[in-house]
Amino acid sequence: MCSFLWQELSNRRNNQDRIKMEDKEKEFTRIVHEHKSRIYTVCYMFSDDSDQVADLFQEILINLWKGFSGFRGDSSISTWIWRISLNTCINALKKKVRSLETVRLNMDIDPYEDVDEEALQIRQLHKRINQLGLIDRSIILLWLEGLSYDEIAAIMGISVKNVSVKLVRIREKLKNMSNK
Amino acid sequence: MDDNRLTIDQELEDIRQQYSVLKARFDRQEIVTEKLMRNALRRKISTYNWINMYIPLIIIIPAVTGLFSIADRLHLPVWPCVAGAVISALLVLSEFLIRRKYKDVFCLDTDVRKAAHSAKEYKVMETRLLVFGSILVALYVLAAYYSWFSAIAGSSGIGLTSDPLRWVLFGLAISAIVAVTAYVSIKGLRIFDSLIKDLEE
Repeated sequence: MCSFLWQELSNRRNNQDRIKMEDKEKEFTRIVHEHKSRIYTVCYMFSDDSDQVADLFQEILINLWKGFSGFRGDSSISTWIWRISLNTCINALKKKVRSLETVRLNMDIDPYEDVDEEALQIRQLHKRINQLGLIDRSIILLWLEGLSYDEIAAIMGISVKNVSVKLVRIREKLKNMSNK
Repeated sequence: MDDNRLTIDQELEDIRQQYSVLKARFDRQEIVTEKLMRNALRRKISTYNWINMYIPLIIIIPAVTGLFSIADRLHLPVWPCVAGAVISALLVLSEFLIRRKYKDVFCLDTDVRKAAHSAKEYKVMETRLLVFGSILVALYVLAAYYSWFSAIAGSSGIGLTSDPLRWVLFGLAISAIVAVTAYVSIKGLRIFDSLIKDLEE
């Protein structure tokens, strides 16, 4: 009798855990779908080929998943995603450590290989932004996304004044690039 | 001046336009997102860091403990086994404490500047641990080698022993010592490599 009750309780607990986990996965999937173009854009700006984009995208997903349970909502979900995406890409480029096991696949849309007008424009953007340093690249990405100076400052961990100074310098650099 | 401003604005306008094209394009990326998502969810907990950190505990300590009992039975000095276990435990504990202190490096939900700062400090601490660990391991290797080799050689009276089990034991001990040295060296090379890259930047 006791063992029957114990088994019943254990089954119920397992079911509850499974449902909780499924809900968590659904919520996570929804958030990623909502922000996927943002994450892809960060990966693209820190990569040299589509395989690396996929690798970085997956590392970001894994880091997001790892931090998902601990996300307390102190910042907005988009700020949280920006931080993890930028930190993952910067760390990956700096460390060049053995990457996690990732799936190799061709992207449905490959901005490195496609030859249409859009792809050419995108490659031009990649070429320009890739000449900037890692921090400058992050700041210009956040600015292009339309984030306020306050939000950029919060994500980067610098003052609002510093953001505006850095943006002026980045603009100068971009201007010099186009003059060359 | 006004002309300059106009050029800069035009430049940024172009970039903004290109950026929106890029985002719209990635909005249409479906199949790969699904596959990457499934793979990421399947691999919910990465074991890589865990295994990397506890490798000395998983491999070295049981090996050393095993050697301890054999050495004791064969009347060889047992201190190299105890010292090996203590050194492995010390290295793992130090690594654990450093990682706990610099958890920002692994917890990526922090601002970019803080994460970069912690990463640099973490590397410096890792290098210190590595230098200290290498000296400790080198001393240990020399002392252990000397102690066991003299015991084995001394037992035969002519510098070599005829007992094959003692040679097997000797081989195992040397393998364990080489494994610790290799582990420390590989880790060291990686750290120095990333430090040099940082200096180049």
